[in-house]
Amino acid sequence: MANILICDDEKDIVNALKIYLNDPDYVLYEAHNGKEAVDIVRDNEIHLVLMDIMMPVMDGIEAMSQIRGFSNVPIILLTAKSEDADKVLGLNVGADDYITKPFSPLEVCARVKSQLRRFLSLGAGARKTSVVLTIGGLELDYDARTVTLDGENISLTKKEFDILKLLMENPNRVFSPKEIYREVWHEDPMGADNTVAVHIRHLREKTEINPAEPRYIKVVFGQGYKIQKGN
Amino acid sequence: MKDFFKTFFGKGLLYAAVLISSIVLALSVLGAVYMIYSNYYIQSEEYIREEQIETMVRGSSANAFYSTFETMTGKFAVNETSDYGNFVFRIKDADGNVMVNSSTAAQQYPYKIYLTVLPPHQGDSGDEYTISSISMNKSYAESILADNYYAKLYIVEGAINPNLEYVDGYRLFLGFHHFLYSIKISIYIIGVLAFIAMIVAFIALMSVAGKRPKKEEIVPWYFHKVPFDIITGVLIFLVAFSCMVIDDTRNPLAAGLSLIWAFFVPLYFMSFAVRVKTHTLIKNTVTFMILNLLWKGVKLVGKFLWTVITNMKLLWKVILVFAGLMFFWLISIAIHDQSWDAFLVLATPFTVFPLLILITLQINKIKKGAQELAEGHFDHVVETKWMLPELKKHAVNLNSMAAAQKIALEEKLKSERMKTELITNVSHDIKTPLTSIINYADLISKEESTSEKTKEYSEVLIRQSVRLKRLLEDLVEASKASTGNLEVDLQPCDAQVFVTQSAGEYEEKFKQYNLSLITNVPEQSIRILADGRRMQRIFDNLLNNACKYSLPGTRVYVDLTETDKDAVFTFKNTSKEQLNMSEEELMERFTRGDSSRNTEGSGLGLSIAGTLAELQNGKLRLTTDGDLFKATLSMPKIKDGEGK
Repeated sequence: MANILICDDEKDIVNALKIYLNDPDYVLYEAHNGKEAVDIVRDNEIHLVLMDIMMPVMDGIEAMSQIRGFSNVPIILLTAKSEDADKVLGLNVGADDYITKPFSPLEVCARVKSQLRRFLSLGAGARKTSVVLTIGGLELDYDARTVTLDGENISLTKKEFDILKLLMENPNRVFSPKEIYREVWHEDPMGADNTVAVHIRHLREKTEINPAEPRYIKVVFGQGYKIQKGN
Repeated sequence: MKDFFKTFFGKGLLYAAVLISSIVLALSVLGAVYMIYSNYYIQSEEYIREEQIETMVRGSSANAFYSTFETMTGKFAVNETSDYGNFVFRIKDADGNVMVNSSTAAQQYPYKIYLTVLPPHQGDSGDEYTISSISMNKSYAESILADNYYAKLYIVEGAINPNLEYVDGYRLFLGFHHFLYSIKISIYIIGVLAFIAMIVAFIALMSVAGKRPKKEEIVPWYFHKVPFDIITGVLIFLVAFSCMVIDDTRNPLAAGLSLIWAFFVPLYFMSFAVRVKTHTLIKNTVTFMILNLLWKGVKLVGKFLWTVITNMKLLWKVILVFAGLMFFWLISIAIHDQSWDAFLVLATPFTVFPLLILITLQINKIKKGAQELAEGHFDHVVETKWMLPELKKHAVNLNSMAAAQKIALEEKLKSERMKTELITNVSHDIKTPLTSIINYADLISKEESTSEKTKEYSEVLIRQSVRLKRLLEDLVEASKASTGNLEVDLQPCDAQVFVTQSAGEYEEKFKQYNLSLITNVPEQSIRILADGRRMQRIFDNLLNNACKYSLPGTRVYVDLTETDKDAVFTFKNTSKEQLNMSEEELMERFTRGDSSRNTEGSGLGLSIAGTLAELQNGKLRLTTDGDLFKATLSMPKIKDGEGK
């Protein structure tokens, strides 16, 4: 059982989201401005907040910073503001995820599931015994050579695993395609080779809910690839 | 209490206090000085009294002899004894016979003077008796007797009537002497007290000067309206006059009367105080009035001349200056004086050259200002503070031109910014209802009860809504890019990486469209300065276009070459539609390969790509050759040693 708060001043959007998230495992709360949202999170045990930014009375950014004062519940911002600066602001103030409107309903459901799984499994305090690399919801097990995303196993090829391991061992460092090739294939790349680019794309399709807006494996265009740790 | 002193009576009291205390002060100072000089602090009271009485009695004795001795006959005539007051005397001859005795009472005569008298024709006075000597010394008189056979000796013995019956100098002196001696110490205390009293009364008088009871403001009396320098002049005249009188006359009454002005000195100070309070001290003087009048006259003339000069044409001013110079030269010829000639010869370069230099410097300044303006630096302001009037006009005009241009530029930037802001805000507002449309269309398509047709229709709704979303985003992006509201963060990048990365990303998509992507990249790396995110947008737009508009089954080429300065990316594809438009038209906003506008896309893609390339100092060119569509993106290379 998970308690989800949906907060948007547009009632139609709240209703649509309620239909999509209609699941016996979820209990849905609704709010129509930031103030209501803060009150509901304070008075109830909420496991996830889906919140708009532009709302009357109190906006989403303000509400989020208030909630962060007393709770570390996962917050997904759901907003029409699609500028990079807005995303950076939202994530810096404490959002766990950022979805721009108009959104695809399937993506919203997937992201809600992922955040909940992560939050609830972390809350259970489940710890692995073997050596594990963790970045966000991504966990890489050296011994078992397995990778889990929000607690769910994902199957990777050997090269994909090696690339992910390389990136996760050096978070925030940008690797050029040539460097990755040398590290993983242990030989020099021949001319115009987009092998690495293709592998990265596949890797991204497996680890990201929306590969066009990746959370972990970022493309630094003209330079290479990196894994983002923290905001 | 305060009001009391503001009344006429109160002021009079203060005035009197000032006068009395100053008189007391003056007297005590005089007394003290007198006593110091008369040894009051060294000798006893009796000794001083004796000494002074002796001097007085001797004087009186001589007078008595002169008044009783008749020079015509050589006999003595006795006057009324009362004429001599408390002074008593008797005159004896050399043999001790008493010739005159002013007092019948028997008494002591402690003071003696000796006189010698010559008979007629023996002394200086012709046929009269002559008093040839007076002395206090008997031996001196006897030596005169020994020298002159005819001389006869008389002795005047003087004393003071111990009863002091008459009020005369002796009695007054004795009283005064006693009084003075008794206050010989306390006179200093009296002096100090008088001084304090005078200061206090003086300050009080000054503070109430010009004031009236129950009134805050100063009400000057008519006296205080008389020009102050006149009053000062009168006072100085009176002081000088009394000095003259005292110097000339022996008459104490005249001298005393001439000092009457002293009583008006406090009034003078009162007037001074009132004038200071009403701020008329300087203004209400004849001198000031005259100077003021003169100054006004000078100003009027100056103003007139200034008006004439400022309204004169520049040409006439130059002519006037020249005429003036000619005039001076003519005078110098007429005077034909050597020193004047020398003065002119020196004065001309010393005045004309600095002026020419000044004009040249200022013209240079204006020239520089105009240059800056021509180059579009509207912030430059020409400093006009010390400029000559004619040049200043020019400089001020330049400055206002610059200011107007600057304002116009700022306005333009502001309106561009506002336009972008408006577009951004509108796009936010449109996105919210769009979300509902997409979501509910999706819900309809998923309802079990919906028919196939409805499902199909709702999918159209979703597709078109998603297109609308992309259109909005492109619109915001295009507006931002074209107004320069986009930050560009140029970093050194590897040109090959752009090609390999995008090839990797788009491989799948090209396969979907039944196209194959061929990349040609040189072996050695080419470094360029670019903003990765902006470059990604350009590549996305160009490659998406290639997907949408290429004839299926054909190849799409992405080549990287380099020239001296640039790295050149070339995108080539075969269009499925006929390209019946020019390169310029293709780059314009809202232009798409097909005029029917049925396919996805906003028509902004190429325009955005072009603007983004320019923002990174690059260039995007489009060429068409039949159905071959070619986009060439040139980005400047990093020269060796740069951008490290």
